[in-house]
Amino acid sequence: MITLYHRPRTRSSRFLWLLEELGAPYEIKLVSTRTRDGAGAADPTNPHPHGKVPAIKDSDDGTIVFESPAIVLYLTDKFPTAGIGPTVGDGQRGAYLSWLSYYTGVLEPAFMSKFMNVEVPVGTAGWVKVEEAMPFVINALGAHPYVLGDSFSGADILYSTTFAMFGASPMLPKSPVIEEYVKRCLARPAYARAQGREEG
Amino acid sequence: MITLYHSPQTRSSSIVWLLEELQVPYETRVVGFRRFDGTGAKDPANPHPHGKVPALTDGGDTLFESSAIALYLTDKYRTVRMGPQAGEKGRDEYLSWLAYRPGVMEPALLCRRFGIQHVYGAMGWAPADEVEEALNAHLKGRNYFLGDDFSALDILLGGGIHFMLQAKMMAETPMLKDYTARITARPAFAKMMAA
Repeated sequence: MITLYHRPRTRSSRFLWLLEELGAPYEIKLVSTRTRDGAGAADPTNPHPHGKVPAIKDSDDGTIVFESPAIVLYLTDKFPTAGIGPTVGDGQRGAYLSWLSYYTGVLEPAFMSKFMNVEVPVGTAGWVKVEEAMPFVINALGAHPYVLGDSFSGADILYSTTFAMFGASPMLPKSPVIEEYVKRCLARPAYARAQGREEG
Repeated sequence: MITLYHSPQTRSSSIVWLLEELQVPYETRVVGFRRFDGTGAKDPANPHPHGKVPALTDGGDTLFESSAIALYLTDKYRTVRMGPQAGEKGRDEYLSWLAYRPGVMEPALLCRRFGIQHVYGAMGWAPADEVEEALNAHLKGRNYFLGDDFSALDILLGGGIHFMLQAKMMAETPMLKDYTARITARPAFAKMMAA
């Protein structure tokens, strides 16, 4: 049984979707987190070192995993029959690991730099500007329906939800390729099922 | 054959260290990249989407981003064990902390250096002071990130801590001082420094 430490409408929401895709047995533990307005507090039962969401606990062996790309990888490796994460030895494994890492190490900080209106220090930061990252992503998604090519994977859960969240905001340069990609991913039945579990 | 796209004294040095620890044959291809001072340019031969280092090719596989490269290598090359496999004890910590470096540690410390205020709930990372606390708390009572066994975490995060202490971007606690002395005493660290 997987326990998802979750706060509705945050970065943990998409893990409901992943768990639904995997058909994994799971339960939701609602926790509070510190919020922008200073209102929330970290829940002491949340195993994330900074009290953030998501985190998961696997009661099979007491395993605790935090950070989104790590959780995606842990779960798709644990439930390989769902076929949404190339496993070790698969020719797509390298690309899968790279896209998962790129999400957390490049894309998220790129958007945050734009949001905070700060210059990205080229050569010092591990990331680049949104205006440089997005053409790479758009180019990949213009050539294939999903980041790994023809098959949907756990990495698409991170990318499509991020693009869906920014929607029509000026944070995300307008792109029909991205709009189609978001539609394609969010049309999956598991996404709809996850929406029904959002509040716990 | 593994090819590492590398630039001396950069993030790709960690991968040199890891390849030396793994004792697998590899070649390095030194490439230029865009530096902070405006010098340098992307090398068209570098497969990284933004011309950054490290990137790595191995047979038909192309990888970019340090954590992805480290995980790929330690899962594939097993003669010297540098990280637990899927299903093995410690895999959870291994994956979590590998993701923590690019997702939390690096942006947190860089934001502090550039005076960017932390915004709870919006940023995927944490304030740098809390990152330092978490790293000190995790390493307390441990020789290495995973406990008794040295792993790629001690290269990616430990090496990062070593660099941050030297650059005075992180507070030098006695524990971090001992820890970084322990990991930098390894022969593969010296080989990295010479590469």
